[in-house]
Order: sequence, then C-alpha cells, then structure tokens
Amino acid sequence: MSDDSPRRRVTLRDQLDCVPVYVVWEITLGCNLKCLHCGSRAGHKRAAELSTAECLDVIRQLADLGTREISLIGGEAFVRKDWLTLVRAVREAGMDCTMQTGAYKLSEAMLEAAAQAGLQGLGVSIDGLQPLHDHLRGVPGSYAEALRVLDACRRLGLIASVNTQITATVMPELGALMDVISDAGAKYWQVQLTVAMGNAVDHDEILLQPYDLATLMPLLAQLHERGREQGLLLLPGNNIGYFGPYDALWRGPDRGHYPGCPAGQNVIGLEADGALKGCPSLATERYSAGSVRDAPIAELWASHPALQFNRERGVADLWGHCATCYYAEVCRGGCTWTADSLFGRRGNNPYCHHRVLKLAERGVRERVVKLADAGDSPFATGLFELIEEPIPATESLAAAL
Amino acid sequence: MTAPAHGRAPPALVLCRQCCEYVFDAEAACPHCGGDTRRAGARYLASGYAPIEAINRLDRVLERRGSN
Repeated sequence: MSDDSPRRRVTLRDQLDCVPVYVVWEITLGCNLKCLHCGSRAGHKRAAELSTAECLDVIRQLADLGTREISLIGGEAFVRKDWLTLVRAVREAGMDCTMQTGAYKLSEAMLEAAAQAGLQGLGVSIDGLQPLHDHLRGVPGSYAEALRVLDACRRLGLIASVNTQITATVMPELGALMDVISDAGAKYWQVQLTVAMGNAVDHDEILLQPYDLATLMPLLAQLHERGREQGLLLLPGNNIGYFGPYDALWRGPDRGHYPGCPAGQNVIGLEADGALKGCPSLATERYSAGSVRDAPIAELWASHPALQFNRERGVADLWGHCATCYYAEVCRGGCTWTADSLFGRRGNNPYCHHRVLKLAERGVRERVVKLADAGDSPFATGLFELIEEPIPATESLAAAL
Repeated sequence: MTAPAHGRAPPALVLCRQCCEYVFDAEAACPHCGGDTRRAGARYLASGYAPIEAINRLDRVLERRGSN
C-alpha cells in the first residue's frame, strides 16, 4: 500500500462524513534504533501500552467507523510480541494492513509470517546512503539491514515502499539513493521533510531551511520523472508542497491536487497507550483527544475538540503569509504537524514551494532559528522563530544561471 | 450516543491549460502565467492531462450528486 492505494483515496463523501479512512497506529514506543530525527523519541516502550485484548477492541471499533487501512508503526512495531496477531485481526476485520519499519533485525522468517498473517505492504525507512543512514539512524549496519529486508520482500512478493526523511544532508545524494531503492525492487518512494520535533529539535542542524525548497523541489521533480522510467513512483508526503510548478507532476491530476491536511477529518493517529489524535505525529499535549481506554473511539471522534480543527475548513486560523495566500482556502497552511511543531501554533507553514517562489519574486527568503529546545517526552516540540531576509546576491545569481 | 461528525470539502482546483499550475475553476486569466486558463497550450496537450481532467470533472459531478 502507498498513498497511491485506491482504498486510501479520500472521496467527497468521506470528507463530508469525516470517515477515518486511514489510521496510523503506534503499537509500541519500543525501538531498536536511535534516530537523530525521531519526533517521538522512541526507544523504551510506554509505561502502560494497550494490552492485546484492548488492541483487538480498538480494531473492531475502527472497522465500525469505516476505516479502510491501518498502518502499524512504532517505535518499531515488530518489537511488540503480538504484532502478528494484530495484523491478522486488522485483515479479518476487512481492513488493509501495512507496516512502517526501520527494518533492523526484521528477519525473513518474521516477514514470511507477516505475509501469511495478511500484511499487504511494508514501508522501509532509508534516509540516505550507508554512512548517512547509519549516522541518522544511530546504529551501524542499519542501512544494510534495510536493503536486506527490501530484497526479502521482493522474494516473498510483499509490496515494498521506501520512506525517506529529507534532511539538509541528504539532498546531494538523493539521486544515488533513488537508484539503490529502485534496484532493490521498491515500487514506491515516499519522501517527507524532517520536522522540528523531539530529537530533531536537539539536532536542528539536520533540518532544511524553508529556502532550501527552491533547490529541493526541482530536484524531486527530476527524480520523479526518472523514477517513472525505472518503475519507481516517487510520492510526496503530506508536508511536501504546496502547489507550485511541480504539483501536477506528482499529485495529479489523476491523484488530485493537495486537498489540505486530512488530520482529524480522514486520518486518526493512535499512541501505544491509547491516546487518540488526528495525526500520529501531532504534539500530544495540544492534540490528544484522550484515551481509548476512557471513551469509545466513535464518541471521541464525533465530539472531541482536539479532533475538530480541520473539519470546518476555515481560513480564520491562518497567519503569516499563509493567511493571504492564493491557495489559502484549499491548502490551509499545509501539514498541521510541520507548522505547529515549529511555532506551537498551526496555520503558517514556511515549508511551501509556492511561498518560497512568491517571496523570491520580491528578493526575500525565510529561515527558521531555534529559540527553545524540546522537552524529553514523546512528540515534544521546541520553539522556532521565522526570519525574513534578503536573498544573498550569490544565490540569486546562481538561481538565474 | 454521539452526533455524527460533519466536515467540509475543499474547493476543487483545475489546471491552467497554459502553465499546468493549479487555479480555481472560475479563473479565466491565470494568476501564475497570465495566460488564458481554458485555452490548451502545448505542454497541457502533450502531458495527457486533458482526458484525466475530463474524468475528474465527471467524477466530481457524480460525487456531488451522490452526496446531496
């Protein structure tokens, strides 16, 4: 499965009825990697993660709400002993089941068991070529493990996709990385900007600056076209955009233009201890609707204020350049997680290609500067300041050449 | 028992047939390239977007009809 999966596509009826089409479920915070960019600061499991019985009840409730796909994540999802039971239960409830993994120590026998349990797709994280990937993932050998798992998926007939975090350091090697991914047999490559949350705030040197999109987006467009020739579909994550000269290339018109952030309208995020959010990555302190232990999911979904923010689709909470943007009514500031993690407030997203280009017409650009570190808890955010400054003359010249 | 959730859908955008950037459906002059959004240019024709957009328009009509 991927963002291209027909069942995950959101219809008008889904939007009007707020059907939670896609659920991303952190089934444990336990993890065997130590990623420098991890927003949830995964490592040790949470103090009171849901029991198997509670998880099976969650699956039943989500099926009743109309969910069509559940993607299991962690931490590292397979660290949890009953993960295959959960995969099987999702499929038996009539929903698609996929899993995202760092792939470290995911054996072929485990993969085979997952395929037999009904797992339909595996997303493997690869964040650069070997030295960079192993550095970012904090474990030597993790790159080789990821490639081994991709190869095993090919042998088992399991659909494999690759997820890549776009950091400041990976840009020069994206082309070479694409060839590796393509050779390894992946069919989909989803790219996502690293967001200023958790460990990534501690290591803010890995974050792209908003103005880097002027370089990144033409590169991604070039890779997208080359990927199609190689049978690899490069897909933009929710925080890659928005609109601009390449959006039709990777989002449509067959897949439809960017519709705005679907968090809380057609997406649910679940934390391993039962906290329910509109998106798995949003800051828990601002976006948790409470625990599935305390109320039925249908009740939280229908009425909790923490899940309602995208449903009325107004522009009232937009600020900064997003407030006056041509696309404001459709885009509404793009990825809620990206903007909210920077400023503690959604509705102003400097990581936007359209915005970068409009500002460049005036000879200015934006960069973010850290003002405060993030706390130690999972999904903690820091605070960043947005600086608008003239584009240095050397870069203007380079862009013109 | 809780009330069912209700949401809104974003307005649908179409491609400017000159520069292939997204514009609002009612736009005659493209805010990006200044061209006539409805007059198919070479890039739009070569991209194969025309039949896809026609199908999208039909889908939208059917979806809206189904949701009334």
